[in-house]
Amino acid sequence: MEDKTLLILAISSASVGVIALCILMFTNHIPEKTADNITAADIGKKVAITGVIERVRTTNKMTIVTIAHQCAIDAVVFDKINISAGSSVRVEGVVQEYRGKRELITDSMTINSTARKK
Amino acid sequence: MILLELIIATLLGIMVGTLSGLTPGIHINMISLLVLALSSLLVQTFGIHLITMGVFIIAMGVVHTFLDAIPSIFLGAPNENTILGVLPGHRYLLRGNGLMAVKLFTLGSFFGLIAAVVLFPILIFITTISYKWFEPFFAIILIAVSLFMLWNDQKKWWAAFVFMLAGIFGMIVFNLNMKDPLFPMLSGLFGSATLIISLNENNTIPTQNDDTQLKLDKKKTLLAIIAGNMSAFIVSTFPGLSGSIAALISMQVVRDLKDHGFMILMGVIGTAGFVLSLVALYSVDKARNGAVIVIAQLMTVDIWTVIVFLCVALIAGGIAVVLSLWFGRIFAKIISRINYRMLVYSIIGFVTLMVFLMTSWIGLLVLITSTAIGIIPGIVKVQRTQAMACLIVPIILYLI
Repeated sequence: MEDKTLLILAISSASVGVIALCILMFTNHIPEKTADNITAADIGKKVAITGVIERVRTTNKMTIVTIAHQCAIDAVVFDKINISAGSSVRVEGVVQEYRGKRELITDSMTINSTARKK
Repeated sequence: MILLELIIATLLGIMVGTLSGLTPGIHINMISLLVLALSSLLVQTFGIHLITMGVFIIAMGVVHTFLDAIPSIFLGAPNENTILGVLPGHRYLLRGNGLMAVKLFTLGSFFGLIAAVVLFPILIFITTISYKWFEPFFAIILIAVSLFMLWNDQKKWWAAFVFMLAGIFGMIVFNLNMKDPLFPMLSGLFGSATLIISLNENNTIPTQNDDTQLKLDKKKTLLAIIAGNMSAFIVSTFPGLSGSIAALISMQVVRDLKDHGFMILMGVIGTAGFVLSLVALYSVDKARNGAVIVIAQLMTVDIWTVIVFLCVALIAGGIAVVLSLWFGRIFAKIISRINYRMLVYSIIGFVTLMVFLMTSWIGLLVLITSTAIGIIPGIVKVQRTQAMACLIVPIILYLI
């Protein structure tokens, strides 16, 4: 094999890598997580969590939804929403630490399946 | 913004990987651990993303696996992935074909990388479904490979003696509770020993040929790439195995590769082994080399992160081809002007100094003992690969 052929292949490989990397960066990726694998490294970052709602608490200004997988995390929604425990949801939001506990400040919530009524 | 950060990290990784690849004794694990130690400072003070550090480690690791061929071919100073390449590499050098050996190795590294990226999704699938099933059989495979190696040696009794000696020595070294036991042990068995024997043979390095047009047997090249990738996949998935054991397995499966095929195989295994260690990390959450252990500690690796890493590996690999051929040419030009004896003495001196700095007196003792053991196969004319027992025996005992 000639040096030139090898160099052309090498430059093509590097170019494919750069183009793919650019495309990936513009897809605006949000890491998919579960409540139990959110770590200190995620604080301040936007993540997506899928899980089942364990508990819902509503105050005047906000709703706190506890989402469980193996552990639980609170997703804070600054609005009053009508949702019940047992529903499966996907929440996108930023991880924050509040009084030593990690919680998610919700940007959007998608309901995958609602709780079955008994 | 993050794109710029990633590109800068890739370029920095390429630079550091070039330095570590060309310098005998500097391992990417050490630099990765340094990155881990600095990570909280980098995040809090400079707001650098964790993935950027991962990208730096991947770029550095890939480039290192391309360039570490150069010291092992021109200086006879290998690391644990290139030890089996020293002897054929030395043969090329003494025939004036050092640059050709570098080119074959680079070719192997590059096609190994491309094959690893292409096979990545299939290997994730295979690992996820077969890991638990395959694990108990690994010790048996290693025992079979060892017996096969002994059986194929011309002088079976001497081969068995070297195998046993190296095996017992390996077990002692791993129980010494020393930092980085591989470096002095492998430098002695495969590096210094080869160099000392070559001193006895009164070698001079001829002027190196600049013309390296390769006529490759397409079938053998393809076979080396496939076999190399498969064994690189095995060693990067199962615990405690290095690239050289992958080469041993491949050599038993694909026989008669000849020197050209073997140099390609070494290149494939080094680079594919590094990239494919991400398969085990992603699919069964097992980190099999120091650099990947650091990545696992830095971040949760999801499919998006894996794709970013593969893109970076392609970029770093492409640039590494150019770097490797360029540095290969520089080494080839310089090497024949140097007095061979002086070169060998200074390499042995340098390796001894590095061993002493990294592992102190105990490392020096390991280096001297392993050099003595490594000289035996050269004198009694058995295959040097028997000395790989220093890794194989402790691994078999660990697995059973």
